[in-house]
Amino acid sequence: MTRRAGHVVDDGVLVDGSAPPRLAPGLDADLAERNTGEWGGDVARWRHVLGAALAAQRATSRPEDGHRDLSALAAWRSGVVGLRADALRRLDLALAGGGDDRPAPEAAAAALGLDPAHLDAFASGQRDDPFAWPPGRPGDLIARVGGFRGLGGPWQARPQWTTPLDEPGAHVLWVDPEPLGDGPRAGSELWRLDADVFGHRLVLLTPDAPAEGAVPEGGGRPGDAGQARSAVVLRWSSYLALLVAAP
Amino acid sequence: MGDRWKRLSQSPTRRVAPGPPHELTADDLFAEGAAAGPEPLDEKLRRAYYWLVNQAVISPFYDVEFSTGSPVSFTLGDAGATLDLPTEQSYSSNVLLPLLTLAVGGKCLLVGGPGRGKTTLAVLMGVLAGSTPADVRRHVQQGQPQMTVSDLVGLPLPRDLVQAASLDEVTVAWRGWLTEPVKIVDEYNRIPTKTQSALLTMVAEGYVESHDQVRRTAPPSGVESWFFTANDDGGGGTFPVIQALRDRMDVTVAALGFNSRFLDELVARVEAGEKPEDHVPAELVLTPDEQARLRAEVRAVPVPASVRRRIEFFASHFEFVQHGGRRFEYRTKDTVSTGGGRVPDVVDENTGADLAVDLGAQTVNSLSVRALQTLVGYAKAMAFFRGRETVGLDDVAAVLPFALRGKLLPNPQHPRFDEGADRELSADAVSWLADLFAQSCRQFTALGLEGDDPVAEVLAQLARGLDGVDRVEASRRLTAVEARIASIAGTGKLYGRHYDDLVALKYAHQRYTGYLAWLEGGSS
Repeated sequence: MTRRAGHVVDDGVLVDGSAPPRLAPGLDADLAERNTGEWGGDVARWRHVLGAALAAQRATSRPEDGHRDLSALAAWRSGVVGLRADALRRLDLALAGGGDDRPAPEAAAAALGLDPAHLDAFASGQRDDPFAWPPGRPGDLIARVGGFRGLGGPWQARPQWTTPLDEPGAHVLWVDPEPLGDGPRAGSELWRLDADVFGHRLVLLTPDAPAEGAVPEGGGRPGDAGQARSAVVLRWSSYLALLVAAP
Repeated sequence: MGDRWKRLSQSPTRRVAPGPPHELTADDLFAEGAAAGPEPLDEKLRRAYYWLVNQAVISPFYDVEFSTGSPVSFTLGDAGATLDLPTEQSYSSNVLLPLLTLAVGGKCLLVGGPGRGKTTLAVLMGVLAGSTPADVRRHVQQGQPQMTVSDLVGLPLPRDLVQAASLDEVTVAWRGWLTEPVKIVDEYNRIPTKTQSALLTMVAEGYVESHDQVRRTAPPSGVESWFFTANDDGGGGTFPVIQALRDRMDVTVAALGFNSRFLDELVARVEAGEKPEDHVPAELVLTPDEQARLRAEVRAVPVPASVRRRIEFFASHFEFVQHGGRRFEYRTKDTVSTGGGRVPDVVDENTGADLAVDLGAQTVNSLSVRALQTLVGYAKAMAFFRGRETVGLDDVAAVLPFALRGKLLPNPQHPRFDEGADRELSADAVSWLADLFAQSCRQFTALGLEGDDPVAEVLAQLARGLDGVDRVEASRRLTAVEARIASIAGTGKLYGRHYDDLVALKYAHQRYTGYLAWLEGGSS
């Protein structure tokens, strides 16, 4: 079986993306869905978790409140890593009792695909660790990233070398047709990985990496696995890179 | 038939790194176009390029090559011809360089025999800059032997000439083409010398003068580009082009011939009676604001120190000539040529240097400051066009032959142009200049200058300022400069690259000497 990129928290979770969500007046669900897809999110999963969250919200006394927040939480849950900071802020407000137009905690939990009992632990864990997942992951594996371009991945060659950056969830990877036994090589493709528990984003920093493993300006500062809260494992037999919890 | 002109390349035309991930918010989720944003100008420029080569001009030539790794190469015939198949997006110089000229507000000379599409290409640039096809065609200045300054700039009103008490009362009816964003001068080597001088003022200074009155030539965007055509680049033509005007050409591009395999397209145009400039898609036209932004964005592309150092090294080869003068600073080709001497003869006198290694011996002149500025400007434009964050060595190598053609001139007495496999380079300036830069880069690597550049360290230390540097430290630095000069002297050979280093070291030495004198209470 061909392994494809994906996150462990999604493994085995069936999603039903057949029904488009119906949001409160003034919120364009089609537009939000399109943006989620363009930002790398899984649209079917967005529909699934948002549908569950809206159902939970509509069972409360404020059925039309919090739809904007729930849409953002669902988009984060479906893999839009860039929404993490904003979604966490909105989650904190919902847990604090919110106010006008904030979702109920149980609706927020549904948007994240969580049991409401785990919501507090998830929010506090995520403040420190982008890979916190209170229900628990089976092992250290967080995600499989990358992959061969012919099978929908971003790479035409294998990732051959990697270094963590000094930010949580951030790494750089050198992609090269030749094995890099002695370290990064000038001229490789250099990619930056940003990941959290739900999603990741791979950005080509340069198709022509500088010498001696330098990271170009704006690409990040080298750090260690502790700072990145994770490590990347490369295998000679696969175009996929494995993101695992920091040792 | 008309629809085929509207066919545009789909975006993105080039896979470009989108940059580090940015923070998103729930509000972005409900914002139209939050993911895409406006079309970047580099993408617009690339779409214009592909429309030009695919629809407007029939130019299946890909002579500006980019490759990573080793491209597939075929040896053809028995005279050493090779055909390389580049691995990356490569481009047609006679379309790309004019387009980059439009982007930077430069001056482009298109050379080639009659009927090769030089004027068509220039007219297309005018339409891309926002003028109507009719206006662009009307404003093309046709060079001819009777062309006067008045033909070029306009006439004083006859009534004022009779009635005016002073020159400033004379109203000049300026020609409309003067303030067009794209100015086209056809067959500029047929214009009389006096009129060429008036043209030079416009090109060099950006204004025209007539009857004590001045008119600036810049359009509202502030970005003006010039396109000149000539069917000769070897000094021929009805009137020889004055050297100062020739020097103002930022890039020189040959209009390549017609490929007979594309005759069907030509037949279609004849049958439809269509001209490409009448069908430029509106979405490719640059507004004045976009033209100003485009130039600013191109200028903002940084040149990394490693690339800059390679350009410095390349430029260092050409000023020095061993027997050019007596004083060290005067041992230059400029001393020889301004003194009435012949540079090739002086180069021949230098029996101590290896002509195969001394790249400076291949030229009769050196690089002007203007030529270097042009090279840097177009390298930035090339990097911008390719969607690169910084200028790469390949960007410099790609534009260098076009920026230096007609400026860095070959030494016809050099053995390279006289004999052997390289003899054809005497006529093919583009290939020679490309090879010259490649040779320079190979030397740079072979000399191990990539990581070890003591002269740069001396200059960088000096650039940090002398505040807080005490007498002991200044003396130590002075000794280090002298030691560096001694080590060059110790090699027993002297090449152009040493000349620039030695002049720079003397400068540093003089600065420290003056500083020491000042510390000791003397005058600095």
